[in-house]
Amino acid sequence: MSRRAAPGAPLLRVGGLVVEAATGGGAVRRIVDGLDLDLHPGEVTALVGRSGSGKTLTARSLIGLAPRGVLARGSALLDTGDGAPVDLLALSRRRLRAVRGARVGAVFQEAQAGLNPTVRVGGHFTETLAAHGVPRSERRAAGAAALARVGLVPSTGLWTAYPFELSGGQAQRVAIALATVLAPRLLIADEITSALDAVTRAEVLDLLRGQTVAAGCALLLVTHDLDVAGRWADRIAVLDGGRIVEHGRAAALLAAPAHPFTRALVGGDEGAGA
Amino acid sequence: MVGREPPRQRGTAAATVRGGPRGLLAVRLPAAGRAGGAAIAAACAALALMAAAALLAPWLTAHDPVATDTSAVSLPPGTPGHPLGTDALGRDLAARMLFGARSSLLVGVVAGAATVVLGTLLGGLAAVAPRPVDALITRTADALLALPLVLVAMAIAAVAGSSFGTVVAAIAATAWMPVALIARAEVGALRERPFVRAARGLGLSRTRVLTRHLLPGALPPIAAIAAFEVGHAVLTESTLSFLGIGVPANRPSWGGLLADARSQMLSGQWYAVAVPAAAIVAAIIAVNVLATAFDRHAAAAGRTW
Repeated sequence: MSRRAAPGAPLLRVGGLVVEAATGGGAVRRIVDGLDLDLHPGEVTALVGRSGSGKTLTARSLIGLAPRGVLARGSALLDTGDGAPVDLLALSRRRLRAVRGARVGAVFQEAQAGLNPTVRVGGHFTETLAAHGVPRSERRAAGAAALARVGLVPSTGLWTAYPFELSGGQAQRVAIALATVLAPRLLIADEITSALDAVTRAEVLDLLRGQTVAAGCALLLVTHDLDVAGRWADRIAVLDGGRIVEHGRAAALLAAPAHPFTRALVGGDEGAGA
Repeated sequence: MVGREPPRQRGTAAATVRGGPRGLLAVRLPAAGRAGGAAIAAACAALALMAAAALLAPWLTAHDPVATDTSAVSLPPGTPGHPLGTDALGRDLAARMLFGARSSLLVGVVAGAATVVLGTLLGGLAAVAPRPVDALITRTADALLALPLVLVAMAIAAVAGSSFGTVVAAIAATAWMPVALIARAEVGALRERPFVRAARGLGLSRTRVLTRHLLPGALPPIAAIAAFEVGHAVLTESTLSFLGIGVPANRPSWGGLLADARSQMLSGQWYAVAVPAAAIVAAIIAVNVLATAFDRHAAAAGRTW
């Protein structure tokens, strides 16, 4: 699948990721317990698990956005495309900030809530581009190009619209355009389609998959829905109890689920008539 | 006036800072209810009138507010040429009221604004800063709230000497805490909102996230309290000026007028006290009416996002 010279080289290599949350009284609860995961260029990897399995905290920890009191250890080596890989978990706050948005994009669930209700669509783009040093004169064009890539017409009306004026699908596309405006190498999409109807969901995921393959970047698709994972991911990693319990090519994994938890997920999907 | 001020009922910390007008002023408005429209209009009219009087003072009176006239001392109201009479030094009381409005209202607005800015910044900082900074700010606020603040303001004003800037600083330094606690609570609630996380995920700096994404969302509840702070600032300025440590004595202010008139009250010239006192009370009631209306409006509108 990878068209790179070194097909084995992952774009992101997560090793021994441990995520712990401080609970009251100085106690610590381990949420993710030694997670290993490789993401390859041009591929969509789905991280599947039920609610509370730690998949969202895993995704957020990778870019230093875990809530207060949640600490991540381990390594997450990102091939930034220039020079040696950088460990996302070991970056200083300033360097991490430069990586976020530019090298690693993130889209979270509830796109509408992910946009500041008091800031216009265009304002979101200009402040993001400004934060990464894009000259003022180029910001509008870059934002419009990103909006066009996600299938939106970058009209003045859209540029000056407030988030509440957008539909759910439009808001999700704007959020994706915003996260990909600087062409990141890695895009993390956390449950981005949970709130969308089936048709819009398919459109958004087709779009993300197309962009990932075309740009040779990597997409980490965090979802609880094995059906989504099976249809849009190249590889599936199943997370249960803070560990990857099963990992492999999507088709093979779904055809012959080895772990009881995956079998239950597959069976549940069939039972629901999906 | 000072003796009549009830103990400040701000309570401790965040428990009492939210919801409804707070007991920080000597004059409180009873429930406005549905008939609040007329009260709001009257309050607006009263404040507009006072502001106009302050702005147009030189054109509304022919008298110099600080010029003494030994041939016209202690004249009663209604004397030709002196509609409100004169004080014991022959200074025209109408002129002193008009020019006094300048000091009192200006201090009220400037000190109220300084209070809100200081409180918002400290509260916002406390919400996003590391725990030690947060603890320092909130504990300082708690400690200040436990003190009789007029005494603290008096101490600041007395030590720093009386000037316009000192009065503003003394008021802001002793009134920022409720604003800060509200700002801290609001910003803290906003911190985990998806759009804030998304903004951080896009690589925005902490300062940028604070000023652009966190503080604007915290402003509506702060705006509601801001009007109360203006009324409180007018009151504190009057108190300090009454005690002779407010705006300099050569600048008339309503509190200073009260101080000047103290001795006259017992010799039958009650109006010398009543007029400035009524102006202070009216100004604070008007501000309070507007603040209450704004607070209710904000509460009724609720969180629109």
